[in-house]
This record gives sequence, C-alpha cells and structure tokens, in this order.
Amino acid sequence: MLHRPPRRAGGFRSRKASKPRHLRARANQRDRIQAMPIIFNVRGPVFVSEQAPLPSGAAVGGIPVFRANAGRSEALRKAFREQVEQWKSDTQHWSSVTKMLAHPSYLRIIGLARLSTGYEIERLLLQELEAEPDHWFDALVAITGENPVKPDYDFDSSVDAWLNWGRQKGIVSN
Amino acid sequence: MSGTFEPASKATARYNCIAFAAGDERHWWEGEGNGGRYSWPSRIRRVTTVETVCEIFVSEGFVETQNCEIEPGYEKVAIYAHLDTCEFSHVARSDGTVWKSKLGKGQDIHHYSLDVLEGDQSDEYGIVERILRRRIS
Repeated sequence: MLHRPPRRAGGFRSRKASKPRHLRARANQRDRIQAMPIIFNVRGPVFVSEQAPLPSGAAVGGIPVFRANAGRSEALRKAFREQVEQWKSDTQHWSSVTKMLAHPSYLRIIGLARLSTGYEIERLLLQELEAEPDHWFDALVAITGENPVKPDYDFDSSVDAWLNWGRQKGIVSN
Repeated sequence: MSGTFEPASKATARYNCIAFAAGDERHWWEGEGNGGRYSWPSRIRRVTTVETVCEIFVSEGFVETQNCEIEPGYEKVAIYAHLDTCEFSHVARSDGTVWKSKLGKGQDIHHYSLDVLEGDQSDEYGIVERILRRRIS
C-alpha cells in the first residue's frame, strides 16, 4: 500500500502553488514570453519571431509585420521606400519645410534608424538625397548627430556637404 | 488643378514659391527658418503668414489692388491662403504677360488665371487672399 503523506492544513495545494511566490512569478513570466511573439518595435515595422502565428508581410493596424530573421535589411529598405514615397507624394506641393518635417512619414523614416545596423539608414537616405535631392537634412542630423552643413550653405551646397560626409565615412561611394 | 497651365521647369526642392516670386531661384524662403537655415528678409518678422509675405512685397514697392487680371506694364503678386485655416499657402507672380508659380517642390508653371490654383485638393492652394502690383520700370 502506497504511503501518502498527511494532507496539510488549508486543503489541497497544486505543484505550482507549492513553489515560493517569487519563483512562481518568474515561471509565469517565462510562460507568457514563450506564448507571445517577440516585438522589436511597436511603432512599426514590427518584427516577430518564427513562433508567432502572423505570416510574413502581414500588417497589424497598418504597420507592416516582418520576420525577425528573414531579410531584415530588405524589410528596412521596403519600409523606407514606402515612407519616402508617401512623404514625397503628400508634400510635393507644400511651400513650408517646417510642415514637411512634421509629416508622419518623415518622422517614421527617422524612427527606422532604430532598426538599422551599421549605416544602413544613412546609406538609404544619402542615396535618396543624391538621386532626387530633397529636404532630408534634418533627418540626417537627427539620425547621425552630426551636421556638415554650414549656416550660409544653400540647398545645393547642403546636398554636397552631406554626400561628401557620406563618402568620407565610406557609407556611399564616389 | 483645373484650367490652363504649362510647365516651365523641372521639379526642384531648391527654392519655393516665395523665393520664386521674389526672383530668387537658389534659396528656399521661409520665415520659420529652422534655425536660420532658410532665407527670409531680415526686416520682416520671421514667420510665414499672408501678412508677412505681403510685407515682403510692400517693402519692394508693391501696393494692393483688387484687379486679379494680368495687366501689361505691371508686375503683380497674388497671395493664396488655405480655405480652412486661412494660413498662407502660395504666392504667384506676373510679369505683365502671364502668371507664374513654383508649385512647392515641383515645377514652375505658367498660367493665365489665378483660379487654376484655387481649390481644396492636394495640389490646390485655397483662395487668393491678396493681390499687389507695381509698375514695371
């Protein structure tokens, strides 16, 4: 006959309940992490783990969703391109740079720097600046923390200053 | 935009409508200036409004007029404001033969009436708020 220890006062206790409280909280957290997709950036794009049920290329609330380990650079380029096209389309006829800088797509482009490794976002911006010069100067200052533009520079000089900066850093080629 | 107009340049973000109306095709004119980076007459308050843009041209000898037609012998500027906010949106100029406008970062165009650019669509600039002129010397 199997000997069972006497039941403790307070009634039946589960296996989890038998653990100290701080260890129970840690176990619960681990369970929650394993169940949730890993979110790198909730302001978009969103990168999720392979375990997450969302298919690659899906969107949540209009924010594109990508796999964390599947073409991150390509995802960054795609997101960058989309925001650039939106910004250019919306601001083409505007006469105020102050308003252009406050456009949501311009701010999202600056936000993409958090997803960038090396000088990826800087390269994308400088390539865009060279191909179709536009008012990317404030974005570059915000992302790099540097400013090669002197106060008396006009638009063309400012473009040249940033492209030279990029060449000196090895980010873009001559 | 509706009505008759013709492109007169390539698109460029180098200068805007205020600069173009003031005869400057190398700099972007904006009162807010982003720390002084953009051009603006030093004698004019550094904010871009219908009033301050009007002051720019008054200081150059322009006077207000109600005549919105092209007048041979007169340079004119027409200042637009957004329909909903009444904020400055655009300025066009005339050399006495045609109206000319720089469309934001887009092209310069020639147009033969001011209402071509009036309206509330994304490529329209509201309504003409002020017109000023000066005799061509």
